[in-house]
Amino acid sequence: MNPEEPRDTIDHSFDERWLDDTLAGYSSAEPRLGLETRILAGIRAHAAQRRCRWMFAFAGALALVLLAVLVTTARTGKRGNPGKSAQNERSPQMVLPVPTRNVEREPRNVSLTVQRRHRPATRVNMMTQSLVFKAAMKQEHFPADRPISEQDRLLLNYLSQTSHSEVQHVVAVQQEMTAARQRWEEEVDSQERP
Amino acid sequence: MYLPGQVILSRTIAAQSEAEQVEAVVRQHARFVYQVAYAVLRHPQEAEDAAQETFIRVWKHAKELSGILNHRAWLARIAWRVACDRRRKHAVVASDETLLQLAAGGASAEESLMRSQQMQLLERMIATLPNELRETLTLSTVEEMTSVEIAEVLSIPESSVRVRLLRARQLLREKLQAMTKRKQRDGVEA
Repeated sequence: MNPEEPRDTIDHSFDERWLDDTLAGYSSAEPRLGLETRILAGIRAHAAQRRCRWMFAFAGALALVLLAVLVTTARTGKRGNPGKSAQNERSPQMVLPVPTRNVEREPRNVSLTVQRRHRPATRVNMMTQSLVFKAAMKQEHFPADRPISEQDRLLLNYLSQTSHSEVQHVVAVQQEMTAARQRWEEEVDSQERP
Repeated sequence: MYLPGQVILSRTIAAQSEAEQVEAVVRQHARFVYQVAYAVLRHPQEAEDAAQETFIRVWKHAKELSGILNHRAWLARIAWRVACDRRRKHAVVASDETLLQLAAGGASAEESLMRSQQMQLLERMIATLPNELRETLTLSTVEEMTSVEIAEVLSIPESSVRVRLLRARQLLREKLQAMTKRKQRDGVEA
């Protein structure tokens, strides 16, 4: 019989017990009192912080969108204004010009065809510009009481593109129609009188 | 048909119920989570911070809470990962708080000192174990943690947990015997 054997068994059992005891206490550390409360408070603080971060992010995004809208509006406004302001500045100086050219009477149809065939676009522009210039010069001497309207402008363009004889013809037709209407009204008046 | 108001109301109720669920989980398992973290970090304050971080993660995944069958294993896994991350990031400084806690437990100063020396010895011995044995043994020291839960945390079969625990204990015993023999030899020589 080996005399060392019982001693080994005693040592072995002592080691086992020591291991069991020490391992049992290895992670048995108790937390400080109020751990749950501290954890819950931490979670609430984290949630509030997160909500706050989201709100800041949302506000920032909203501010950026508003800024973008403002910048876009300002740019489009700048682009749109100069034309309007220039038109407004030009308008008071313009008056309705009256063509005063004396052109020999020609057959109406012939003159129209000839003029339309030989009138280039640049010439039309030049004529309009000259009329506008004349109107401006006239404005200096005889200022008009009202600014030129869009209809006036259209009429001005029509006059610049139409021959004098044609205009005279239209005026004559209008005068005849007016005279006929006056005559008709007079007849009606005379018939109604007792 | 769902109206926007109804949707908001249902979401608010859902959020409230989630918050209540999280609160219930915290109240039920805070101590357990703390102990899992403490088993890894061996530092009371670090363990508390890890527990806090664990429950913040739980709160972020509160929607999944209702679908989880074993809350303890799920929490242990999160706490384990958080604690391991913290141990990697911050080198935990050993403190005297363990000693103070032991002293506050009512034991005499001599007993406390002896116990803390034993604990330090065990810590050193566990630190020399291979990684997989150390992890398994550390988790097994957490109170009420079953081999099934350990297996779930470490994502290994339960049989592997048992084998690893046996091997770890065997290695510790051998180390302890070697130390005892060395001490005896030193005593005889002196």
